[in-house]
Parts: sequence; structure tokens; C-alpha cells
Amino acid sequence: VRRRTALATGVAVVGGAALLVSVFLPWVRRGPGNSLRGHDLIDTLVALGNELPGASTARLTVLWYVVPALGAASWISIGLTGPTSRPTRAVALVAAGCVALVVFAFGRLAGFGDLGAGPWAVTFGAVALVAAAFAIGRPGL
Amino acid sequence: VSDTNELLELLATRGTPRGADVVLAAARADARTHDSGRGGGGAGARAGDLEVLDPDVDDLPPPAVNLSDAAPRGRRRPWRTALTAGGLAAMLGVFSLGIASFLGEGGADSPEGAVRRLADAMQHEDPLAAVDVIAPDEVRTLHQTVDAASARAAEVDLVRSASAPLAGLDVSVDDLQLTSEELAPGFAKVTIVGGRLALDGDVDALSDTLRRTVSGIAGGEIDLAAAWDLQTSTRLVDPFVMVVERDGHWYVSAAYTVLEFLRIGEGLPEADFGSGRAARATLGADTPEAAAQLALDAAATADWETLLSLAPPDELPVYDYRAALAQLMRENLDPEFTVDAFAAQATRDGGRAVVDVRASGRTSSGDAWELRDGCLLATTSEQTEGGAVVPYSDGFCLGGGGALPYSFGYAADGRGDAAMRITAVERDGRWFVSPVGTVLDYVDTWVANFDERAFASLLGDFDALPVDGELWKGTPQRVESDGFGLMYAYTLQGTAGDEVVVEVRDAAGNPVSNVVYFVGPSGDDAGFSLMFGERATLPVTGTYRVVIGTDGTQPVDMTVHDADLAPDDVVNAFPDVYDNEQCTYDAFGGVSCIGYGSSEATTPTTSTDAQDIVLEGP
Repeated sequence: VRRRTALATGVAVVGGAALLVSVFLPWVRRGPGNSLRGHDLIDTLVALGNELPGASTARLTVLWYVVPALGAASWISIGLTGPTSRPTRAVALVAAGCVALVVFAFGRLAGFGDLGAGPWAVTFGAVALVAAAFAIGRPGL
Repeated sequence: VSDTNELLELLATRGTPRGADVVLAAARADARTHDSGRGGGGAGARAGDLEVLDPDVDDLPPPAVNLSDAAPRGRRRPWRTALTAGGLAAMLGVFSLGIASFLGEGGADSPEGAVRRLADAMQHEDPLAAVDVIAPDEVRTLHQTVDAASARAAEVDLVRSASAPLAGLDVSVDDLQLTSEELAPGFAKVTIVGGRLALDGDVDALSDTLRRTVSGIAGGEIDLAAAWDLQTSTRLVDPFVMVVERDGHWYVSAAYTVLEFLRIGEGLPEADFGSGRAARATLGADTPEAAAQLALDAAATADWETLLSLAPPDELPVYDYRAALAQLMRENLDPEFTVDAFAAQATRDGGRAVVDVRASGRTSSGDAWELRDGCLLATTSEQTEGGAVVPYSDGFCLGGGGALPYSFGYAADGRGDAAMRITAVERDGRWFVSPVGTVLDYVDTWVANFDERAFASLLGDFDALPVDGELWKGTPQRVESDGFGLMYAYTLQGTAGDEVVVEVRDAAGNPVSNVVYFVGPSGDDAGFSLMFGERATLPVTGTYRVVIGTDGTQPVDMTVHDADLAPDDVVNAFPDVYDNEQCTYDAFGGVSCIGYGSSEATTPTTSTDAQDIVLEGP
């Protein structure tokens, strides 16, 4: 049990870290916007004329910043309640949803082939968080 | 903690409510039914190491438990506290970044930071990131133009991908060292005191079309700190970039940089920084039409201060440099023309208007000038060899399509296919003529019409041109062009040794100077070009591709003759060109003649002095 808990904790912490460092990673591998982050990046992509139904610049920007914020939240939750607690699981689920949305949005805006390390990092982070909270640390497994 | 909670919840909800004695007795019995020392507890309970004791044996009291030996109740482990603290700090950081991002609108926190961001954007070959750090007023509509140009470039295979228009170029800025000096509140001059700009390229990363015409990209390195020689003056200018502050952020200003370079290079009076923005409500004109007319009148009367006051101060800060620019214009410009008629019609869209302008007048020499049909034309007259005086127009036209967005000289005569429009913008209730908006509107229109034919024509890539028809010797082929500089290709069956001559006439039957290119059957045969009346001998037998370059949208008729069957006026035309003393030759092998055809002609040709061209086969 302790080994499972330790493993789940480690994986969850790494997953949260991946979400956090996405702030500093390039989200577009090449072309316009590859040197930008956050609001500037999304402004640039939207300025390119690529539209995503229902996704305004403000919504996308908020979503982009929510992802690393959830990474930070996962650390807080793991530290206070453990890797498999209900709060951590809730954070993991919300992170997975946000990551799916933001990666899809960026894929549509910049082209999936041009996505940089950022989307990959957050995808890994969300998967790691969910795995730690629901599978690795699950009691009885 | 969470595991303990789950176990307690499970324990509390199993079975039916019983008294404590019953529960303890059942627990003892349950423990004894399992392996000794292993413990039990039923479903959900976990194996443990507790020994099962019987309190009734010998009425002995239960053994004392030394509490000091028991494991202390778990305190929060340090790493968990650290993780929580780290999470809180990270949350704060992300929150701050997000807030700063929403509050910020590009630019940088310092003058030098703005220049470094620009260098970083260059290093990443990211034009839109560069636009983000340039003063927003100056590039208000540049995003749209860059986007449209990138998309169109990808469509015509100028670039591989619209999302990476500069793929293939490798730009690096190293060891950039800067110093800054505030010239006025909100205006700073950032001097480059060190750094290198290296440029390299990878031909393999270029589009297929470009690879056909570009054999290599010459790399190089520039010392960014080396003084700039502006050529127009004797002064060397230390390299610098002007930056301006807008809403607390610093941006690179292309306009201020250019104007300040000009001022220093020419030794002109200093700028009155910010005066244009401050006086904006008192500059400009009441209406878009009035702004256009005022600008034209000011240019005609050399009222340079008024002309400079009609440019939007935020877009083009010429008003700040009015003393310098007016002095420069007085010393170098002498317009000498009158405006006798003016008509303008504005179409407003919010704070923006497009003004269609028609105007006419006289130059100082008495020639008529006219703004019409997308052209600025000056009409004069010449005396032919026969003594007749014939008028002809010269000038330039704006084109909405074609290989280039404009045409000059002879080609301008009535061949503009875009209206002469001026873009005006409203600022604080006043209307200004927008030079940037006017230019970008034309560029946007031209880009929208730029296609594979325009690209192939621009590059001279005959192989990429579509075949528009088949030529038969002696039969005129009508060529209707969509724009200036476009090329049209036709096939022609030829036999080695055939001597051919080319005739091209406009719709009125006048000879015109379009150049006709012959490409051999295999594509890489030695090609050649002919102008009206020029003769050449075909080097090989096969299907030739005959390509004609066009000067505008007016149709022309092209005929390829066997030389011995050509009309006399065609056969005899070419020697006249070279015998004409009014013909001059330029460094590129081109020939310009007065009296050739009906107008001045500027015609590039591969020949310089031979009437007959005999080419070797491959």
C-alpha cells in the first residue's frame, strides 16, 4: 500500500509539474507565434484568421492559463490530502478536460502538425494525474 | 489519511448496529477462527500483525502498553508541506502571469526590452511576433495583410506552409548590446553598441517552385554596431532603433526610426516629439473628401506644413518632424503643377473611408495631367518623322492584379484596372489621409488576385505557366491579359532552320513592344526572345512554347510568321529601331526608343546589335 501510494504521489507530482512548465514551453513549433506565449500567442493565432466556433480569444486565453493553474492546484491537493483523495481526483478530472479542450483548440488554430512541446507536456501531465489518482493509487489494486 | 477514512467508513456501515460487548466478542471469535497472529476482520479489513489477547485468562489485567514505544501519530511529512507550499507559489505565479498577460497589450517593459523582443522574433523567423512589438498604431492593419499574403503565398507554392512563411531562412542575432537614451517623455533612442546578425538558408526547406529558381541562399553576417551609410548624405549614422511608450509599454517604432535616421543623416532640425498626437484635434480636415483635396492642393502649392498635418499623427508621425521634413522638401521638391478640377466621392465605414479621386490640371510645361482610371497620367505630344504631332500619355497605374501591383511608363496609358483610391481615417473627429492604409489596401487587393500565373510570371518560370492555346504561323492569336506583367504561353510546331519573325499589335492595329519568348521543345533548350520585327532561326525541330509578356489589361494580337512570308512593315520594323538615333540601350540589354510605334517604348531584349539571331541547338 505504501509503495502504491508513493508511486501514485510521484506520478501525480510529475504530472502536475508537466502542467505547470507548459507556461514556459513553445506551443507552436514553427511559424507565426512560435516565440510567443499565452495571450500574445492566442492573439497571434486568432489574428491569422483561424477561427474556432465558440472559442473567443478571452476564453482560450483563460483556458491556457487554467491548465498550469491546475498543475499548481494538484500539488496543493496532493500535499494536503494525498494523491488519491477526492480533491486530487477532482483536480485530475478537471485538468484532463481542460487539457483536451486546449490541445484541440490549438490544434485547430495552429495545425496539429505544428504543435510544439507545450501541448505534449500538458497531455502527458493530465494523463499522469488521472492515472495516479484513479489507477495507480487505487485501494485494493 | 484518506485510506484510514475509507476504512472507518467501511467499518461503520457494515453489518447491523450492535452493542460494544457483542462487537468485541465477535471480533475475538473472528480473530481466533483465522490463522493465529494474522488477524482478520472480514471483507474489507486488512491483514495485520496484532496478537489476539484474551482478557479473561487468569483475571489478569491486559498487558500494559508502553506509550513511549508506540509509533508517534504521523505528523505531516516535510515533503508534503513543501509540495503544498510549492503549489501555492506556483499558483500565485501562474495567476500573476495571467493577469499581466490580460493587462498587457504586447510591447515590452523597457526601451531595450522592446528591441530585444524584436531581435528574438527575428531569430524565430516569426513576422507576427515582430509585429507584436512594433508600435500598434503603425501596424494596425498589418496582421491582416501578413496573414493574407502568407495564405496566398502557400496557395501559389511560394512557401511550403502559410504557418511558416519564412521556412528555409535561418536568422540569428547574437551578443546584442544596447544602450538607451530618452529623447522626450515616452520617446527613447536605443543604440546598438554590439551584436551580430547572421543570415543563412536551406534551399531544401523552400517550396518546390522556389527551388526551381533558387540554386542557393548565400549566408552572411552583419555587424549590427557598424555605422550606417545612408548613401543620401555624407554622414555616417550609428545604428539605433526608436522606441515609443504606449499605455505603459514600449514598442519599436519603424516610422520614428526611419524619420530620425533621415533627420540625422541630412542634418535637419530636431523633432518635436509627441506634438502631432497632442494637436491631433486641430489637424486634418472636416471630411474625407476635404482631406484628399487639401492634400492635393498642398502638394501643388508646395505647402508642405499643411500636407504634413494631413497624415494621422499616430500612424505616421511626420507632424513631429514637420520642421525637418518641410526644410528637406523645400530644398528638393518643386512640384509646379496646378489642380484645375477635382472630384472625390468617399465611402465611409465607421472611422475609415475610401475616397475615389478624379483630378486634372497642368504641369509647369503646359502638359496636361490627370488622375483617372487608376492611373496618374501626363499627356504630352511629340512630332513624328512625318511631321505630324501626336499626343501620348506617360505615368503610372495601379493594378488590382498581375505580377506587380503597378505599371509604369508606356504601359500606363489607360491600362490601370484599379480605381485611384485614398484611404482616410478619423481621429478625434478630424479626417486624415492614411498613407499606410492606402498602400495596404492596394496590396491587399493585389495579393487577393495573385495566382500561380502571376508567380510564374514574376519568376520568369515558363515551365510553370499553363498553356493557353496553340499558335499557327501567320494566324493572329488574341491575348487578353488580367494584369500588368502577366505572361501567357502557347505552343508552336517548329522545324530546325525555320526563320521566324514576331508581330504584336494592339486592338487598334498599332505595333506594340511586348517581348515574346521562345522555349525549346525539351524545356532546357537555349531559349531566346523576340520583339516586334526581330528575326530568329529555330535551332531544333519540335513543339516550342511561345510566351508573351503583357503590359496591362488591353488585349493584343500576336502573330508568328515565317520570315519570308511576313508583312513588309513587320520585316522592316526592326532595323528601324536600331537605326533610330533616339534609341538608347541600358545595362541590361534593354532598348528604349522615341518614335518606335506610337509611344515611348521600353523593351528588354537579349539582342544588342544583331538583326538576325541564329541559335545553336542543344
